[in-house]
Amino acid sequence: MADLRDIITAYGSGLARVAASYEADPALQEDLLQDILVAVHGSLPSLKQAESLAPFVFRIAHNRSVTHVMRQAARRKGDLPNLPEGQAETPEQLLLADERARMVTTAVRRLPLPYRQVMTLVLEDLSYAEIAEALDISVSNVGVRVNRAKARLREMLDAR
Amino acid sequence: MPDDDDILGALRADWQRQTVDTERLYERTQRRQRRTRLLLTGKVAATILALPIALWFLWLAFAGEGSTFALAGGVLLAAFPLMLLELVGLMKLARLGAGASPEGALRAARTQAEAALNLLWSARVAALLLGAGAAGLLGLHLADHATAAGTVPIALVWLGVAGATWLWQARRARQLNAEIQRCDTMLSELEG
Repeated sequence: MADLRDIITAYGSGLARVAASYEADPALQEDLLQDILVAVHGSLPSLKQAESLAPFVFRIAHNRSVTHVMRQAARRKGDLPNLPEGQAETPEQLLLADERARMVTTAVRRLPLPYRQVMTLVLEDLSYAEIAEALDISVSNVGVRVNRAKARLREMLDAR
Repeated sequence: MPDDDDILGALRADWQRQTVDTERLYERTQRRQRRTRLLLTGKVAATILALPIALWFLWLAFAGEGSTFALAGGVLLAAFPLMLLELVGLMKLARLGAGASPEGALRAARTQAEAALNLLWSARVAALLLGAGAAGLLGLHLADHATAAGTVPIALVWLGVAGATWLWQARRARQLNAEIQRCDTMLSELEG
């Protein structure tokens, strides 16, 4: 699978959701998503046969996303990566979603970084082994983070 | 009370209901890919050309063709390390892809930001050289020495570029410091 269209068909929505978990501004979200897709497409020749595609693709997505947040810090005067809720709405919003789905994304975006990373991949149906491969952490560490992330998410969503 | 699996299932359903228009995304990403290639090609060409042009200017100045060449050569030579670092950083970042974990990617980006911060002196030197050159030209003009026509506008352009370069490096230093600070925060979060 080396065609950009194939990658977008298979992973476009998933990658957009990961980008949205790091970036609230729709224009910057799309910028980040395109950056991720260009990086994935450019990195495909380095994909080893033994590696599975999903962890490879999502590892790149998280790598690009953390460096995006780092670079945006300077432009945002302060270190909060997210816009206030509701400010990000535009007719051209990248992700087509209903209110409930947006609420989940906002809650995921508010998770601490280690929990957010595992939770986005759990929500994308990756197995613990694949998440461990994507984030270069142990499978047991994935389990611990997922449990804590679930508890935090539950608190946040119950409080609404 | 719903158990953990039910909660996760409900979250997953909500999460995955968010989709993108793949055709629109494909077109925009293709445009982005072309723009990225063009930008990289331009930067490679500018960096490759900067050093020989700087040396050629300096050689012309040495051969008695005028101090303007010495100034232009000096400015280009001073700016060269920063141009080279920016290009290397851009290429490294493009290759980073899947080769690192998020922590590794952050460390690499931090190293790059630190190196850029340390090399901002070259922009300051270029600005000072241009400013000094402009001041020299204006000084000659004001002292009523015979100077070529158009000396004042040229000196003012140099002065403007020097001022803009100085402001740019100060802004860039602030940005890079903020990036490094943010990077450290994220790394400590990840290392928890």
